[in-house]
Amino acid sequence: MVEDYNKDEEIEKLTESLKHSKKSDFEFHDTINPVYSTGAGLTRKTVEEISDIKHEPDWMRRSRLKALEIFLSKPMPTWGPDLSGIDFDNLTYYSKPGETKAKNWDEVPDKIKETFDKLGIPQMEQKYLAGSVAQYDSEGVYGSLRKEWEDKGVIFTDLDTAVQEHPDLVKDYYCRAIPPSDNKFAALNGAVWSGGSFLYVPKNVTIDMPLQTYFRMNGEQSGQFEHTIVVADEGAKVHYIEGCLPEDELVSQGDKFVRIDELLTDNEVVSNTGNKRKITRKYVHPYNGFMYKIIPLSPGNAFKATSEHPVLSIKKEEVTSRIRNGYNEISTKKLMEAEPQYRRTDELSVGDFIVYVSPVATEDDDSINESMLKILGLYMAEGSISFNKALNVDQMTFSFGRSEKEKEIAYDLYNIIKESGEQVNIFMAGKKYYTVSTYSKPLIKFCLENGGKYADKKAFSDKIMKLPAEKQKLLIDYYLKGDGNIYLKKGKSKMIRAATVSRALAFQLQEMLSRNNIFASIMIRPASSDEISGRAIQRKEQYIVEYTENIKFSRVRHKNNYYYVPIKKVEREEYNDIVYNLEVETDDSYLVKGFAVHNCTAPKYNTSSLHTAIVEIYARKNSDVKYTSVQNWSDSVYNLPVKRAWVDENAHMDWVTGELGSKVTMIYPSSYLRGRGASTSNLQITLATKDTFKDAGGKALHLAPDTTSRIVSKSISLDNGLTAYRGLVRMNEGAKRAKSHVQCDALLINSDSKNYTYPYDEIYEPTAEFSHEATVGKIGTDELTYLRSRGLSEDEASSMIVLGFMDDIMKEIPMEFAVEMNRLVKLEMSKMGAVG
Amino acid sequence: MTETVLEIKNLKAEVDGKEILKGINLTVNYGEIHALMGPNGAGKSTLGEVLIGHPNYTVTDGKILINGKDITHAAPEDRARAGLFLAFQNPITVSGVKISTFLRMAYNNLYPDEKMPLKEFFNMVKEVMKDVDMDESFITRAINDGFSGGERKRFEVLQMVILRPKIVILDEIDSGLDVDALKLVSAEIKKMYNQKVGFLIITHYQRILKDIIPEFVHVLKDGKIVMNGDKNVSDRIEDEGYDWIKE
Repeated sequence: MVEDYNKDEEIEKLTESLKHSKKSDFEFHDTINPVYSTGAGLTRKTVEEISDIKHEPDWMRRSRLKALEIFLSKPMPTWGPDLSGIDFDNLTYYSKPGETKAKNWDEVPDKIKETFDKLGIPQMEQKYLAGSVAQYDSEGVYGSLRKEWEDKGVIFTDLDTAVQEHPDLVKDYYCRAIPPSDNKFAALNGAVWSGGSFLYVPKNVTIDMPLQTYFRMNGEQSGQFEHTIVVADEGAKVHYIEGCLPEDELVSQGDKFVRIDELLTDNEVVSNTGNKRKITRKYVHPYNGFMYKIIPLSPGNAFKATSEHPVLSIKKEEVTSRIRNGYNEISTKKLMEAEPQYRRTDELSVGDFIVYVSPVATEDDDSINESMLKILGLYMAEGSISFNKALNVDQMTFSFGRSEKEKEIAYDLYNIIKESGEQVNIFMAGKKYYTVSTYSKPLIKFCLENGGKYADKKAFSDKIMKLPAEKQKLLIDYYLKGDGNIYLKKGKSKMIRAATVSRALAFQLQEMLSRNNIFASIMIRPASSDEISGRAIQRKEQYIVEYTENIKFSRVRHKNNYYYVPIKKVEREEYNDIVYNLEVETDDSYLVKGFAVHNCTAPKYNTSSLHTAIVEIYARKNSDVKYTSVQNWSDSVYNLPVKRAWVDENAHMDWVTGELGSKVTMIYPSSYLRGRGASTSNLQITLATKDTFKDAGGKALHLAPDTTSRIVSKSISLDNGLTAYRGLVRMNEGAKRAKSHVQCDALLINSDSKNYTYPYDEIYEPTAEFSHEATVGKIGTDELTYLRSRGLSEDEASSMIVLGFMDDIMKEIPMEFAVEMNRLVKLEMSKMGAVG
Repeated sequence: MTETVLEIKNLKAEVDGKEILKGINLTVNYGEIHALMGPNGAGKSTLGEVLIGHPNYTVTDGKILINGKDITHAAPEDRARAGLFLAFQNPITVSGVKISTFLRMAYNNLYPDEKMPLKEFFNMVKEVMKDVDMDESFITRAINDGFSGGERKRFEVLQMVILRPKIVILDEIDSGLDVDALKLVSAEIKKMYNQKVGFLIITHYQRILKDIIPEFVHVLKDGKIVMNGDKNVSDRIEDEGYDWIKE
C-alpha cells in the first residue's frame, strides 16, 4: 500500500534515480489511487458523470454536453504538427485524487505534499504558496488566499469552487473569449474541463504576488483539462515576480562558507533546519534591479540579495510589547512564540529579526583529545609552521608576549606538549617574547590538517567543525587565551573579543560559539596603512569576533538552534550583473553568511499524453495583467492549450510563455485589443529537443484605434528538433494608428535542427504600422571554441551563448525560464556528445 | 637563463583526413619573439588553431608542451589555463554574449584564487581599453557583434593584456589595423615582451615586424618548417617573396 511508504526512503529512492538517469527528474510519478475515475474513453455518459461528481448546476452540465457535440463534429486540424498520435479512446478524462481538496496546508494529504516536495514546490511556508493554486491531477487541491486579498474582494479559487460559490460571476466570463465552437480542442476542454483557477481582481486592486499555476499530470494516459479564468476589473493590476543572490555571497557548508558561484550541484549546504542538504540545482541568471544589503546586529554577517529573495524573518511589529517614543519595545515572550516566515528582502526593515542558524550535525572523533584541542586553539591564535633549514625539518612555533599572563600560557602549552610525549622547547627570544617550539611531526601534521597555514588563510577542518559543542568550547577557550581580550563594561557585562585576519576563521568561531549557546557578532576593520616609528605598516582586513557572556545584555534571542538577530540597517543599490541561486533538497533553503534564506524553485512536470487547457483573460478598462506560464511536460505529451485575452480600453496584457517540454506543442496566446489604446506584449520562448515539434506563436487582433502589440518569439532547436513560429497580426479597418512589431529569432544547435516561420499578416487599416523581423542563428564549433580558448568550459560557453540569445528579453522573463532552458540545452548537448 | 614556455615536437595534424601539418618542431622560450612566416595555404593559421585545440583538427602525431606540461590532447580551456592565448586572424561574432560577462568569466576561470571584486575588475578592463583605444561603451556590447576589422583586432589585444597569458600566438594581428592602431598594438606587445611573455607572431607580410623585431624567424611551407633564421630572412621575404626558399 502506498501509505506504508516511508517518506525518507522514497526521497532517497528519488535522489538515487536522479543520479542514475539523466532525464528521470521529470519522470517520477507516484502511485495515488484515484478515488474515482471515469475510465477510458469519451462519451456523453463520461461528461454527465463528471458533471454529477462535481454536483454542477444545470447550466454547466448543458454547456458541457453542447461542447461535446461540437468536439465530436469538428475534424482534427490538418495544418501544423501531426496529431495522429492522440488516441481519444484511450485517455482518462477525469480522475479524482484520493482526498478531497483542502483549504489550508495542514489539510493537504501527506502524499500530495510529498509530491509537491519532489516537484520542488516549497511546502513549508504557506504564504509563499498562497499565490498559486497547485493543480494536482484534475482537482485544485490547494487554494489558499491571503486574508488581505479577501478583504479587498479578490476571489482566487479553483474553478469548481467558483462555479458553486460565485455562479453569476463565472457565468459572465466562462467560455466567452473562447467558446467551444472556436476549435476542436477548445470544445474538448469545454466538455471535460476539470480544475484550473478562477481569479477575480476587483476595480483598482493591485496584486503583487505571482499569478502562476503549477501543473502536473499524474498517472499515464490521463488528460489534463484545466480551465482558468482571470478577470482584472477596471484599473486592477496583476503581476509576477521572482529573484536571486550575487556571485560573491557566502553560503554555509557547515565547516566553511563558500562563494555561491563556486558551489556545484550535489555539493552539501546547511539548510534552515541546521542540517546538511544536497544542492539539487544551481541557477545563474543576469539581474538588473535593486540589490538589498541586509546588515544585522553583527555587521560582518551582512549579506546581499535581490529585492524579492525570501529571507527567513520575524517582523518587529509582530513581537512588539509596546511602542514608546516611536520605538518598538520587543517582547521576548512574543519573540519566542513567533514563527519565522519567509519574506521578500524589500519587505524587511530596521529592527526586524532575521534567523542565524546553528548547524546541528555532530560527529565526534575519539582520536582528537583535549591536549590536541588546546594545542590547536593556541596554534590558530599564535602558531606558525616553518621549515628549519639547518635541521631539515618542519618546526611549529608559538610566540607569546612577555607579560606574566603570557608567560603562564606559554608554560601551560609547554607542559601540554611535553605531557603528550612530544619534543618541545621554550625560550625567551630577544628578551621580548616567550617562544614555544616543537618539531613533533604528528602535532605539526595535526595542526596543518585541521587549522591550515598562514594567518589569513587559517581555518578549521570539517572534522573539527563537526566535533561536539563541549570539545569546540575547549578549543575556543584556548584560542581566546591567545588572540582574545576581555573587556569589563559598565554594569558588569563581560565582553570577550578576538581579532583575526582570517575571514573563514571568524565565521567558524561564530558558528562554534552558536553551538555553545552564544551569539557572537563579527565586525570588520578595513585594511589600512599606518606608520609606526617611521615605518610604513600595511594592516590586513581584520575580523573582530565579539560576544558577551551575560545573555541579558544581548539583543539577540535564542531558540533551539535559531538565533533571532535584529537588523541594524538595510541598504539598497542598483545592480546589473549575474546572480546565483540554489535549489536545495528537502528544506528548500540555505544559509547566507549564516542566515536562512529560501531557495529557488522551478516547476517540473510529469508524463502523460494530452494537455488541453483553456486560459481566458479579461483585462477590463485601464487594467494591467501579466500571465506567465512555463511548461516542461515529458516528451510524450501533446500540449494543445488555448489562451486568449480580451483587452479593453487602455488596458495592457502581458503574455510570457515558456514551452520547454512535450512531444508536440501548439500554442498561440492571443490578445483581442478591443478598446481604444489597448496594448499587448507577447513573449515566448520555445525549446524543441530531439523528436519534438513546437509550433508556437502569438496573435494580436487590433479591433480599435491606437492599439499596439509586440510579439517576440525566441526558439531553440536541438538535435532534430523542430520549432515553428506561427503568428497572426490582424488590423481591422478603423483600427487607426494601430502599431505592431513582430520579432522571431531562432537558434539552431545542430545541423539537423530546423525552424520555420509562418507569419500571417492581415492589415486592412491604411494608417496602421506593422513590422516583422526574423533572424536565424547557429551555435557552431567556432563560437564555442573561441569562448573556450579564453578559459571557459564547454558548459559555460554553451550556456553563455544560449543566455546571450535570450539576452534582450531576459529582463522580462522569470528566471526559471532562463535557467530551465539553459539546463535543458546543456543536458541535450551533453547527450549528443558534441556540438556542430 | 632561458626557460621554455612552448615546445612543439614533430606535430602532425589533419582535417577531414587531409594532412595539413606535417611534422612541426618549434621551441619558444620566455621573453622571446618568434615570427612564423609562409605563403598562403602553408598551414600557418592551422598551426594556431591546432595549438589551441580546435576540434576541427585531429592531431595524428607529435606533442605540444606548455611549461613542460603535455597539452597535446587537452581541452581548449585547459590550454588557456596553462597560459596559452591565440589572437585569432578572423575573430568570430558571438551574438548576445556581452563582453563584460565574457571577460569576467574568462578571468575568473584563469585566476580562480584572485576573486577580484567586480568593480576593481572593470576598472582594470577600462584602463586597458584606453590603452588599446577602445571606447568604454564596448564593454556592454556583444562579442565582435558589428565590430569593424580593426575593432575586432583591438578586442583580441585587449583580451591578451587582461588574461595575462604566458605564451601568445598572434595570427595576422596587423591586418585590418591602421597605422595608429598598429602602434598601440605594438606598444602592448612590447609591454608583455618586457614581462618575459613568449610570442609567436604568425604573419604573411611583415608590416608588424617593422615595429616588433623578432629574434627568430621560421618559414612554413606546405605544413613543414623549411627554414629557421633571423630578421634577415624576413627582410629577404619582403624583397623577394617566398620563391627563393626551397622545401
